[in-house]
Amino acid sequence: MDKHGYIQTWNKGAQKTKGYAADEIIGKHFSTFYPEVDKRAGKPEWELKEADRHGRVEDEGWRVRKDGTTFWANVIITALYDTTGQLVGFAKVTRDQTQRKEYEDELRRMNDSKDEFISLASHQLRTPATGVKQYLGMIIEGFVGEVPAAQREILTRAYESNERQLRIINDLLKVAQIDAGKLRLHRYDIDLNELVADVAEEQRPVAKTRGHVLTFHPNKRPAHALVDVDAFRMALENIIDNAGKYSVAGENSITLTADDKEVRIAIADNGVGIEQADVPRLFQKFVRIDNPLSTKVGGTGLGLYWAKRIVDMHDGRIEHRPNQPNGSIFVISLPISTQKK
Amino acid sequence: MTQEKNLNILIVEDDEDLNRAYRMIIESAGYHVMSAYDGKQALDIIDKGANPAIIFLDLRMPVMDGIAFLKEYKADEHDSTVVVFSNYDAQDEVDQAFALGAHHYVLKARAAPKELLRIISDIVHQKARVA
Repeated sequence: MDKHGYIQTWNKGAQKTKGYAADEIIGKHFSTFYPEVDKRAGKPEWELKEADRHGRVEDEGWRVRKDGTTFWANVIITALYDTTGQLVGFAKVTRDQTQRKEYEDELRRMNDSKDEFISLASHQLRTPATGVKQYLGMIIEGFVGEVPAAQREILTRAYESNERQLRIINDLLKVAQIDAGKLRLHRYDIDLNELVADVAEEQRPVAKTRGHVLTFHPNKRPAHALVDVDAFRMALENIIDNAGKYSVAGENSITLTADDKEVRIAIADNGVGIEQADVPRLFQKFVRIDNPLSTKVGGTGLGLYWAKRIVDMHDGRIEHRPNQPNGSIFVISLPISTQKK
Repeated sequence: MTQEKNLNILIVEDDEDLNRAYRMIIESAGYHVMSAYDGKQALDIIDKGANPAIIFLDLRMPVMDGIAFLKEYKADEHDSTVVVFSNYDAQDEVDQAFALGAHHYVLKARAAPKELLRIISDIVHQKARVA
């Protein structure tokens, strides 16, 4: 194309993509290939300006063939200069990406219907599982008379299995809710020292049954942040539970620090740790990292994903670092709140 | 105490098994229980003169859901205490139910039979204190 966008040369590839023969199109303006709406918006001219300014411009969008049909195109326009640096024209490469776009759209639709299916199935499963909980609960809690110890033990195991099932169903529904953008946070200014101390206190008995000592080292001064207490609490519980599940025995610690920008909560364990190569997958949905304990320890691969989504919604970050000599440290950082009370 | 036990409790829950389970639990503590399987049935029971002290209300139901029921029922014109059955992913509906006069909520998947009875006795004692 010349520097105003009039087509100077044409090749077989371009003919195949757009349907014009060389003598039909040479001398015409390249905006011929753009849909009316893009022409009116001045997109062709804008792209030339951008290519001139940056040396090159890349765009994806609908383009029009000779017969009026449209295709999804990847377009690269490169500015051409002479030896004195004067713009002399543009080289333009257009690739037909229609099929790729169709695949992507189809994939997105399939992913949406998968999410919808999971949500629907979980809803349907929850009610009967809640029924099992109530009926077994009645027997175990002695509503219909004394239960012999041997039977009670079996019933309690059935009850616990059902509880696990309910937790999985609820995790699936919580994730479906957040993925659909239906979770709204109610954030209040709170001292995270207090909330974390509270959570640590609550998690201590579970840690003890696993042979862990869970310690909490608060910040010396109050560390305020804008937090949805219920959601953040559950995110924190997920991380602490994760640390507990994947370490054998000893101390797991929670340390809270703050500066004038951020509050950081570091949850450290001395467990199996995570291979550096696995770190990028750590917070993905349904991903469970293979390690010596992963088959022994139950999980859905939703806990860390959900925790990350919640922390993101708090404008925070969650990161993984290796602990020394072994294990993991998960660090949650939240912007500090400077609201005066 | 005996007088407290004569209180009527209305369960509005569309799942038959769950409705029956709640009924058995609450009756075991000596309360009188009425069952409805959607909001419309609950309104009919109340229109016929029942004056439940506590209404356990599921939110997602066919025919008339919990929110539609609350809009018709107008909790502030009655002295029933409305306890909403809720779930972790139903935050919006719970907020809405509270705005329409619901007083408490119970997480369905979490509350074991004894917790259900504890909620009832808390409400009963609170009512006794106010009265």
